Amino acid sequence: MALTADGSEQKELTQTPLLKIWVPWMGCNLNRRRGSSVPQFCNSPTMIVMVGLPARGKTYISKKLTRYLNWIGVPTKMFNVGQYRREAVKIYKNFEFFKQDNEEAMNIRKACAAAALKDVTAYFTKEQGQVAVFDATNTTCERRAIILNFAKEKGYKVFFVESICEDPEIIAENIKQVKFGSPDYVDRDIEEAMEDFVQRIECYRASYTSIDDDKDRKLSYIKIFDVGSRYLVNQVQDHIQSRIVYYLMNIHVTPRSIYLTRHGESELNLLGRIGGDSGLSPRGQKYANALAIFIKSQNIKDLKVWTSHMKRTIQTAEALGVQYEQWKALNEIDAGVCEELTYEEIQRDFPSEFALRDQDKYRYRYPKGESYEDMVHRLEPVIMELERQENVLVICHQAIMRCLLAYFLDKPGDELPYLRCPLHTTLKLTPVAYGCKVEPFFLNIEAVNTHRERPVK
Amino acid sequence: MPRELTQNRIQKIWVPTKDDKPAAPRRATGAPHFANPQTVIVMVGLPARGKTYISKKLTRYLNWIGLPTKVFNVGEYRREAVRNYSSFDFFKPDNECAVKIRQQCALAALRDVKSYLKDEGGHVAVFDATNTTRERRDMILTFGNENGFKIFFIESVCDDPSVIASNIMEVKVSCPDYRDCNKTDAMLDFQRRIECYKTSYQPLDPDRHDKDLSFIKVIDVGRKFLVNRIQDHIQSKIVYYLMNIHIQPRTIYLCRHGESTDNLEGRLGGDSGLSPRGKQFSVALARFVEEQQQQDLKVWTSQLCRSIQTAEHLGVPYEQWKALNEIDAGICEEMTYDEMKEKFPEEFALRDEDKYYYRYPAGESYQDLVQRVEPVIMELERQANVLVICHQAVMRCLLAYFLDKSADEMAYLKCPLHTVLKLTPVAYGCKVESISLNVDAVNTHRDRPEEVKRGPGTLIRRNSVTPLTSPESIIKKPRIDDLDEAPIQEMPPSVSSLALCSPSHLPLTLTGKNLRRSSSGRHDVLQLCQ
Repeated sequence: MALTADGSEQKELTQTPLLKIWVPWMGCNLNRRRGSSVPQFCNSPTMIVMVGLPARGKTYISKKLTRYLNWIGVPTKMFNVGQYRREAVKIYKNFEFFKQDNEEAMNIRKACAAAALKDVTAYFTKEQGQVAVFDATNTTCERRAIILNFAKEKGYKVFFVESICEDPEIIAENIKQVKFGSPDYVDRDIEEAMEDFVQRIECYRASYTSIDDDKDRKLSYIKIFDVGSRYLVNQVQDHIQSRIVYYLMNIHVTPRSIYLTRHGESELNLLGRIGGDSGLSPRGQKYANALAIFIKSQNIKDLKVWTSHMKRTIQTAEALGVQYEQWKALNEIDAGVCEELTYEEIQRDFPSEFALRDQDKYRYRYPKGESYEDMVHRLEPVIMELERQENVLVICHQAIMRCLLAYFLDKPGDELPYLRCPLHTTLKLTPVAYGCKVEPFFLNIEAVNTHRERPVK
Repeated sequence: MPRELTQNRIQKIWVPTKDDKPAAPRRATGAPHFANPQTVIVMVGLPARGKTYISKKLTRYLNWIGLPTKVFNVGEYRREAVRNYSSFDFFKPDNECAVKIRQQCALAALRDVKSYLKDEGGHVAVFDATNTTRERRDMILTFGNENGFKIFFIESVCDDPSVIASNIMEVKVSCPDYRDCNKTDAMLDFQRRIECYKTSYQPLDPDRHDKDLSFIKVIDVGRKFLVNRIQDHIQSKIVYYLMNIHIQPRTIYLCRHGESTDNLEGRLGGDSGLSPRGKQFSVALARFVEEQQQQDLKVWTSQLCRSIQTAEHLGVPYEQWKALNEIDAGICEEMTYDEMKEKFPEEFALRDEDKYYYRYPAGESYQDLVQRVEPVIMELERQANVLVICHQAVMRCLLAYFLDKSADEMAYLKCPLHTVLKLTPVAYGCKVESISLNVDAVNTHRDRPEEVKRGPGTLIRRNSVTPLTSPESIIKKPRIDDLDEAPIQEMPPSVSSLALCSPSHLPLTLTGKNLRRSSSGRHDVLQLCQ
């Protein structure tokens, strides 16, 4: 019997049934995950603190970053102090609320910030959060000092994201896109709202101190200038901050559209079999041709086309008659021992696996295969490149498309595996304001339905 | 009419039929290459600011991820032109004759850059020189414009005297310029050399003069970065890489899991547990790790049973990475090589033909592995002391990154069971010590078959993910020129010290099939390439 270093009997390993992770046999503690499908890099919770004048994209960045971090598996939540203020002061009158000398308002605003910080603590301690994005102007040294002290007391890391921009066109565009529709201005006319908001910005400007490259040299931060034309990065402390910086440096705000579609119907689809590497069925080929016509009609500038390495997506792309790039990362989920089986066969030959999958479809890993969670990690470079690019058509597969869609539409792991991505339908995603507009285009070619609903409990 | 598709036999990539030549690898690969335009990376900074260190490391990384990259070090051109370096006077701004020579050297290097990018299949050239004046940088920008190359500057700014002194000691006092000097004199001369550059140094100015250029300023060895106008994917990756590397001394240990029951049967892949000898190895590994007394050692494993079982014996927390799983042998999983040869003779032959690109049907290739393992490398760069318990093919990929091995060599690197490789960064390269833990195991290594011809011809592929070794510069340079001891004399191939070589110095003729361990000298010596 082999002994461990300290002389005790060597423990046997067992594989957790859902995730297929090998863990030491711990009897009834089987559910406690020793390992996980990705290394856990977050030790102390981290606060990302936004800094900048109004209309500099802080909330845009906060929401986008939060969406990205949640998608890659880092529980993140945004705390927008403006919302706390709207709760406290039901009716917004005008910019005078934000004047430096408005003592009553100042007290309310301070209280809102404090309330938000309290919720941050609750998120970390009671809800297993790992990252909190503190979205407010935080334009004074004083306010930032309060946050730093708060974090120090609690043992949270702090990373500042400052957005600096003086281009009047960009600011006007920001105001148009997101401020006019805000609850503060919902009853005003546009000119009045614009005038008021400009005055609001001026209220902050007098007391605005940018993060100081000399005095604040010990702080960890990134300064973003002119929507990404330049960055100043200081004292990145750990893995998650490094990932955040990389993400922020790759996103842009140039208008563009992303088209997501599956390959045309395949031979194996017709047989109801999952996975494999079959070619298109006749109807699938029809779809490929229809897709070519559709794409032409969209008149897209400089469209990039991406496929997986599987025959069915490449055959679909071939019909477009344009150059395309193949990504192995876009390959369909690997169903391991269940490859090319029908669901009935899986239920018959692997009944416990079949049941487990319905229990937690996001984390469930096929024996010798993958899980949705694994796929998200393999897709991350694709998402990063999609962020860098402009107009792209991605021809992929059901599970892959669900993962990508969940990223763009901010769907949690629970919903991701049940998103509807039927064959022969192209989704056109266009970023707008803080989110993403989705337009589905069914190209009128019949196909089998490959969607399985969430089983009723 | 849609074009017919066939799957090319080695990479298993679907291509339109008329384009397919039987074994020709395709352009498209594991990850797209985004038709990156060719880029010249231009280093900027006073002497002893780490420009050559960054150049070499970046080049090694870019080659490993498949972008053919080469360093052009102007100092080497100067050493060719001016055989004997006398003193810092050469670098005085008023030394007209020297200024002319230095200008010529820069132009010669740029000519070679152009030739590399236009005629030799190069994708990225790293122009390693001080480039401290606007005049010089303007000349390079013009050169880039004329030839359609993108220009990306990397400026290293540092005024910490202890860092600079340490740099000088590590790589300058033993460089060929100072081969006849003692260390103190060398240090003094070098410092005066730096002074010669200081007066004319014009740092990149992001606010005015250089606001439209694409560059990164690395300040104080990575405490702070200023990044301006990243143009494309490759510049973004370069910036990310530079922000993750550090120069703190640390050690990386690479080893495979203990011998598994599948190993005993000669089976590939699978997810079996340890054999009794494998368990013995794990115990020995635990003892070894304790003896090494590394501070805060992180332990990483794959998600396969045998690697986790090995880690379990260490009694310390470990992280499981799916990315470290062994290469997926697809339909050949759990077969022995004989079974594979019998059931899939054509596949077996194809694999020997081009082991790096060869993808198992429904499985992976080494090329796919590089893609998969890249986040692990990035995190290894961030970390300090790490022990990675992985598998043969994965370990070969990781090792190829650290030791700058080409795709051709990667698939045949020797990574035997029950042996730990201890990697320590030193000067411009990596010291390797091989430590066998004295527990017997089967040999899972298959040598490159004799009949398979090798040669650079098969390796030059434009726009493909092919790790190439950072190529030797065209200028002949002394074998070891940057380590803090006497250069190693010519040694018989069987006992070459891998340990002290910066990887590009390893003679390509080094062959030999046996594992040799030398007990002479301070370092264990291991012949890893074939």
